[in-house]
Amino acid sequence: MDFLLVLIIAIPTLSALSYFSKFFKMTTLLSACLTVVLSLLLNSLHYADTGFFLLDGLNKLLLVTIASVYLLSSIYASVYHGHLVLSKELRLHMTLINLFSATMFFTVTINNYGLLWIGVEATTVSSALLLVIEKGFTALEAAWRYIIIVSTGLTIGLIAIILIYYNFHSLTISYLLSAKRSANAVLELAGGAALIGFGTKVGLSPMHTWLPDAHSEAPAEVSAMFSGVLLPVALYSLYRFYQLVVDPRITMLYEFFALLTVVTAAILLPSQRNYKRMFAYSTMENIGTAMLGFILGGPAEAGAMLLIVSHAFGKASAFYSSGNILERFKTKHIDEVKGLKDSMPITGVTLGLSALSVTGAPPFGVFMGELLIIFTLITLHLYSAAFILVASLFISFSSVNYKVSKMLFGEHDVEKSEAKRGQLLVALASIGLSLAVTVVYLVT
Amino acid sequence: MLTLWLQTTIQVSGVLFLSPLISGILSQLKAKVESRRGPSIFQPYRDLRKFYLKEVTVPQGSSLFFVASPYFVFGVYLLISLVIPVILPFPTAFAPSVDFLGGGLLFALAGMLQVLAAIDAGSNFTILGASRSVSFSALAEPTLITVFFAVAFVSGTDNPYATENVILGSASTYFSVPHILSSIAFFMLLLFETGKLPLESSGLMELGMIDDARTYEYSGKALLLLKYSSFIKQYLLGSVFLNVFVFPWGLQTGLIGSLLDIPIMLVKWLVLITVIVYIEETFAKLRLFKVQDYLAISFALAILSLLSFRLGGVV
Amino acid sequence: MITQEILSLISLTLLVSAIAIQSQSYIKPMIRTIILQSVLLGAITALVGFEESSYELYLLAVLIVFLRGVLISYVLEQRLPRNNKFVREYLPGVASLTLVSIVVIMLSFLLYYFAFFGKLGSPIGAIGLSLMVQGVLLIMTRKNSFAHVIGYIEEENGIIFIGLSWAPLPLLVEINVLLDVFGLVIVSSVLVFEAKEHYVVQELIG
Repeated sequence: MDFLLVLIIAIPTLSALSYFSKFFKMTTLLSACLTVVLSLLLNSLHYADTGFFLLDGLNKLLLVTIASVYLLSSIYASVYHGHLVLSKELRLHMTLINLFSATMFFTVTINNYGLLWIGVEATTVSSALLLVIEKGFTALEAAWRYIIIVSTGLTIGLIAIILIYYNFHSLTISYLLSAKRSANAVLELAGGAALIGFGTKVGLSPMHTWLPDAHSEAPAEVSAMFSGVLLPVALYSLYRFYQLVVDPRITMLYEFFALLTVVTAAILLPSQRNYKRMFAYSTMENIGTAMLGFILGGPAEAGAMLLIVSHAFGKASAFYSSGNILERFKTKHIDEVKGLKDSMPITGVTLGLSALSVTGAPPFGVFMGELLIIFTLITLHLYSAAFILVASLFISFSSVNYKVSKMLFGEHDVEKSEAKRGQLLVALASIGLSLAVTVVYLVT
Repeated sequence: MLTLWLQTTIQVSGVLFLSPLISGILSQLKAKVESRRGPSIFQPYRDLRKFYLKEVTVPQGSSLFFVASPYFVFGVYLLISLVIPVILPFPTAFAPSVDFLGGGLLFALAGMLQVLAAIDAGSNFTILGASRSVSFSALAEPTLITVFFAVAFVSGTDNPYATENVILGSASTYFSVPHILSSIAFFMLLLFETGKLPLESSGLMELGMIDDARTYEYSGKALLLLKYSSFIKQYLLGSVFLNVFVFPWGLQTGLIGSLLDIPIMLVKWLVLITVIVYIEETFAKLRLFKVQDYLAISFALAILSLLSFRLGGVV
Repeated sequence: MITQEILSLISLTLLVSAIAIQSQSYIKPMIRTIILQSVLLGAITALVGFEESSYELYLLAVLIVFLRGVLISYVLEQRLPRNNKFVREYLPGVASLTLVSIVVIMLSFLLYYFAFFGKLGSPIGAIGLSLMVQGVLLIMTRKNSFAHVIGYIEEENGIIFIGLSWAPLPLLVEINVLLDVFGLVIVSSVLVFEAKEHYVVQELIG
């Protein structure tokens, strides 16, 4: 079992070495398939705790999600950029995707708080250069903001780790989670510092300022990986810290930040003019809802897990579709894209379905997750929080779908020309998976 | 009782005697470094006598304030010379009138009186000097007060004479971080307040002058008093630096000792004069807005010296 | 105790160097000052290691001086353009920046006092916290990319100092932290080559 985990981290790392060979695309795709198989294998285990790795209910599903989005993104990247850029930059891009996924696997399974921080920082380091494959000025600016803001924020998270070590003299997650913990002031400080520190990576408001820039200026498959799996990985790390601190004041603080994130996203969504940015804000809102679900516990935790997995696929499909649109229309503005249902029918279908999926329309998994979370909020008598959440979700739903429908319908004057087959397949597959999650959940 | 009064007189007359001499030695040494023959070291005395014999002219729009303020300024500086240990290491007769903080405030009072009189004069050069002086004093005055506070924290008392004795006594206080930082800050401030070269160039109608510009409209006895006041200010600040911060040793007590203190102070001042001449001859004048940066750095160091004391237990 | 006094002297020099970085407009002196800061941090680590007789801290000190002091600065200096166009940033308000950094130091000391001092009992961590905040202040007030990277290094220096004063982390974690920061500087040096100044970009608003 230990061997499987080491393998799942080692395979993408080794395939990153294919930078020096001619077959980098093939190696990437192969390693992605292998990791999907491995993660499905690992999912069959119940709970495992070797000294170095930890595998429990939280990370199993995340592993599968990471591997699947990794596979989808590699397929998309090999087709999308095929004619767009020179071979050397494409080589760097694909091998960095491998390294990026390896760091994400590392972060999700490691059993040590210090190494968890290092894993999150490593994802930043390895993904920064992914943003700049097309060296536009705004992409460079967005990449710089991403690096600096996230790294600066994560350093504050180190305070939390130091405090935990000061209190317990051990950094092993499984040991600490099962040890007897009482609320003391040092742990409170650790919880607060972790919220600010890791919250920067998660994209909680008011530390979210890098999120729309990075997610909108990245190429489509990188945006999909960011929104779909990187933020949930960061949320997982933040949740590990939250699990350690058992204190009602800290719970209130975390709930406040989660609600603030959702409200900020809802306020900023109606005024978006750039469709990729719009999807980025919708990611922020979903992650805030998921965080709320994790904090509340009980059925909301299952709902949050459901939300994250299904949102990963749905948002990936949304970004793949927008990548198709960008390639065709060469503009990122919503107003300049019209009549998709006639000019790019399949992409229009995926775009519309994915927009519905990520904003929480049934029968997609996101709807089920949000339903469970709101239900838990009401059973816990947190009526005002439930009201705020529902209102913000309503605002986001209506703004995103209004803008997407503006893109889909309307007069068009361009002829029908569809994106490449590989890209389409990927987008469709993501949507299908998002639906499948609901089916699987309801059945089991 | 009589000895106390005698020593007080010795302190004041020592200040009055030594300050033009110090200024003369300074300009003579500068001239020697620049390979000139230079004025003799007694030239400031002759200048003061010349001012005494000239007639007083007053600008047309000015009021009684312009005429009266040199006397007040001179009086303030004389009062300060009683309060801080510039010649004697123990308190003189009027010493309890103000403490260190009050000394700093009195310096500020004298500066403010000069600035107001300059504005009252209503000429271009005086307003130039007044505005520059005020805008730089916004950073310099807090530094002065903070430095005095820092050294008061270190020695536990606010009485200037007692402070000197405390620092005289223990080596750990002398080498402690607040003391070092506040000495550096005070030295930077000293260069500014006495108008030395990287900050202010003094001469005739120099564009960089601050101190000379304020007294540009005065003549005769008023100019005598103001020139004397600037000599005394230089002497007082430098002596505080020497006696309280850097080199408190060597001052004698007793009546004969207080007479001996005057040459001892002169010797100490010679070292300081050498350092100041070195700095003046090596650096070019700073751009005017850079003077603010310089003063901000010295203020930062002064505040740091306070903060380092309050780190509690470590220092 | 003699080590206590040397420790306090070096930590205050760290603070002074933080103010010096804040008020600096030229890049090369900034890089030299951050080298100085990292070397001082390594010296403090070695001192604490000497006091507690722990070899791990000696190794950490050597690593700090080497990785952060020498290598990072070497990488940054390589990226400085040969012509003089970008080695200086036009900074109109150096005096106010110095004063702001003093105020920030005081505020961070207060924050440390209210939040951490009562529970942890170690007063010297306040300097680490103020170094962190100074690093963030440097990033906030500058448009130059090199200044951003140097601010990040300063912040990491602050964190290492805090770790030293509260509870030194296990060596494995510390080494990995240092390597991570190094990797980050490498990556950002690639990006620095492309964009050296950062302004408000119209498309990235909202």
